[in-house]
Amino acid sequence: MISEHTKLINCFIGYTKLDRKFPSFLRELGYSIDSIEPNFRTFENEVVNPDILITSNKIHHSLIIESKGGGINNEKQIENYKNIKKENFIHLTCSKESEKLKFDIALACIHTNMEKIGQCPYIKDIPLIVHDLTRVYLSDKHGKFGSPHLNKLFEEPIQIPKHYPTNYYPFGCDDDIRHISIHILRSIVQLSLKVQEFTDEDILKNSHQLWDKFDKTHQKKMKGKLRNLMTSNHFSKISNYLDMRKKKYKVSTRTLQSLQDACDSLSQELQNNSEQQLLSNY
Amino acid sequence: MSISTRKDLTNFFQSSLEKSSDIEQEKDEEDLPLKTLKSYIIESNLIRMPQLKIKGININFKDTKDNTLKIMNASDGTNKAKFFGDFLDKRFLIFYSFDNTKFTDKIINSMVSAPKSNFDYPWFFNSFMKRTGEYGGNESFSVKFENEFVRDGKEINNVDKLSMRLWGGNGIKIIDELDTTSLNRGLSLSNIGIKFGSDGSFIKENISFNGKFTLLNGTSINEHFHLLTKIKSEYGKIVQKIESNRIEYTLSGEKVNIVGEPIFIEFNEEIEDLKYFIKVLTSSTKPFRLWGINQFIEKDYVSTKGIDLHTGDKIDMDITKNWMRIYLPNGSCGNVITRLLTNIQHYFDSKSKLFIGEEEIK
Repeated sequence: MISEHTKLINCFIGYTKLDRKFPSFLRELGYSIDSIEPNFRTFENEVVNPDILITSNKIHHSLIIESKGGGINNEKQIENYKNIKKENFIHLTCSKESEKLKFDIALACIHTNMEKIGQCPYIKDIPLIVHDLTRVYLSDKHGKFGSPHLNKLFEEPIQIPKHYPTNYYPFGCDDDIRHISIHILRSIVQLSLKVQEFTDEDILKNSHQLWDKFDKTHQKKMKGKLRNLMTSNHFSKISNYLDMRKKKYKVSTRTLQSLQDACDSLSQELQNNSEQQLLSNY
Repeated sequence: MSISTRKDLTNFFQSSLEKSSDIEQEKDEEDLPLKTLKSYIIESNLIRMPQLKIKGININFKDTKDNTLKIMNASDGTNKAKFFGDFLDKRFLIFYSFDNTKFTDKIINSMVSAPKSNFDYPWFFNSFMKRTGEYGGNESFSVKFENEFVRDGKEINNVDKLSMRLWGGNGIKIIDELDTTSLNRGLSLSNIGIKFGSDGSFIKENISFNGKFTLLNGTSINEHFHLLTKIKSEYGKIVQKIESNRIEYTLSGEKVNIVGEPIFIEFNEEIEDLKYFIKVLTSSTKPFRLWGINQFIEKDYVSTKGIDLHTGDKIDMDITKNWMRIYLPNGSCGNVITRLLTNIQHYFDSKSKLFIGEEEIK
C-alpha cells in the first residue's frame, strides 16, 4: 500500500540513520539530510525539485536524489538536473568547506521500474540506484558517480533487509488513499486528545512532519484528498463523532473512546478494500 | 506533628523509623503495619500541579512554608490518606505516606490513570531492577510474569504464568542461575528487597518495579532519601537518554534537518501471532495504554501509528516477530519506552532488551 516513491525516500533517510536492523552506509560516509523535496532554480531559471539532498562534510560531497516510483513523465526535469551547479543548492547544505564540495545527481528506483526508466534517453549518464527485494545496487547500464567514495560503496550490491523504516516520511501526494488515511485517522484521534478544536489544515500538519515545507500546489492537492476522504461514505462513521462548526472540528470527551473504536474499524476496512473500491464511494 | 519544612518532614520520618519495630521482609504488602512509610516516585510532565479530578476520590493540596513541599489529603468517603508531596524535582515527584497501603496504592494508581493526568509510574525494567539490587545487600526478590499475548483457549505453556518470591540473600545470584533454566522467559522482577547504607546506618527497603519504595526498618531516614535520590537520578538519566534520541524535524525554508535515531526493543522469544500481539499492544488498555492503527507492510512486518494515552503523544513503531523499531517524535515523553519495555518483560518476554544505537540500556 505504501508507494514505491515513499518507500524509497524512507530508505534513503534510513541509510543516513544509525539503525540496528537497516544499513547505515550513507551515514558511515558522513551524509546527513539537508532537505527533502527541495525546490531550487538552475542558472537557466528552471525549477528543479528532486526528492532528497544529502551532504557529507567527511568526504565534502552532496548527493541529489530523484526517486522514481513509476516511469519518467517529465523528461525536461531530468534535462534540467544536468544543468544544476553547486551554487544553485549550496545554500541548502550543511557544508562546512563549500569550496571543496563536489556533488552528484542520481536517480533511484525499484527494480521492477528499471526498464521503464531506462527508456528515457536523458538518463544514460546519470547513476541509477536500484532497489530489489534484498539488495541496493548501481545499474551498470547507466552512469557512474563523480565521487570515488560512492563508486566504491556501490562496487558490489549492498544487502538490505525487507524491514525498511516506514516512519521518517509518512506519505507523499501520490500515495494510495488507504495509506494516507491511516495517518489522517491517527491525527484526528491525537488532536481530539490534545486540543479543543481543529481544522483540516491542523489534521494534515499533524499527519506529516514536512507539511510546512510542501509548496502550495502540493498542499492544495493534499487538502483535496483529505476533503474527498472526509466526505466519503467510509468516513461517515468517523464524521458522526466530529462536531463541525465554522470549518473546525470538535470531539466531545464522552465520545473519544467511540471515535478511537470507529478509527480502528475504519482502518481495518481500508486495508481490506482496494483503493478502487474506496474511490468508487466518493 | 505539623509539617512546615523539609526538616520537619525528616524529623517526623526519623522518629517514626525509630519507633517502628523490625518488620520482616517476608511479610506480604497487605500485612504490613499501618505506619510503614511508602514513597512513590511519579514521573510527571507538568509544569505545575493540576487540579486533580478523579471520579469518587476527593483530593486537596495544602501548602507548607516550602513551596516545593505540599500536603495532599485524599479520601473516598470511607478511607483517608495523607501524603507529603515533594515537588522539588518537577520531572519526578515523590509522594510519601504512612497510611493504609491498599488505599495509598489506589490513590497513586488513580492519579496515574486519570485521563490526561500527565503522570506515570517510573518503569523499572529488569536490568534496571537488577542494578538497583546491587546498590546494597540484596535480601529478597519477587518475580511476576503473565503472558498477555496468548489467545483465549490456546494452550498455556509452562512459562506463560510465573509468580514467586524468594528471601534469604544472594538474590541476584539466584536470578542469574534461574536465567539458565527454562523459566527464564518469565523472570520479570516485580520487587526487590535490599539493605542499604554505610558507616553503621542502614535501611531495609522493598522496591517495586513501578517506583514504590516500602521502608521496612532501619536506623537512618537519610539512607532512605539517599537511595530514593540515587535511583531517581539513575532512572532519570535513562529517560533523558531516550529523549535525546527523539526524532526531530527542523524546517527552515527549503532546509530540513532530521536529528535523532530510532530506538529498538529486541525480543528473545519470537512472537507467534503478530496480528494478535499488535492487537493487544495497541488496545488502549492497561498495562500498555497505547492506541494505534496497524498497517501490515508484509506478512510479518507491521507499521504502527500509535498514541501514548498517558500523554496524548505520538509513538510510531515498525514491528517484526523479533524486534520493534520505535520512532519517538520530538516532544514525546521518554517514559513511554520504559513502560513499553517493562510491560513487554512482564507480559510477553522477560528477556527483551532495549537498545539505543549500539548500546544496550540497562
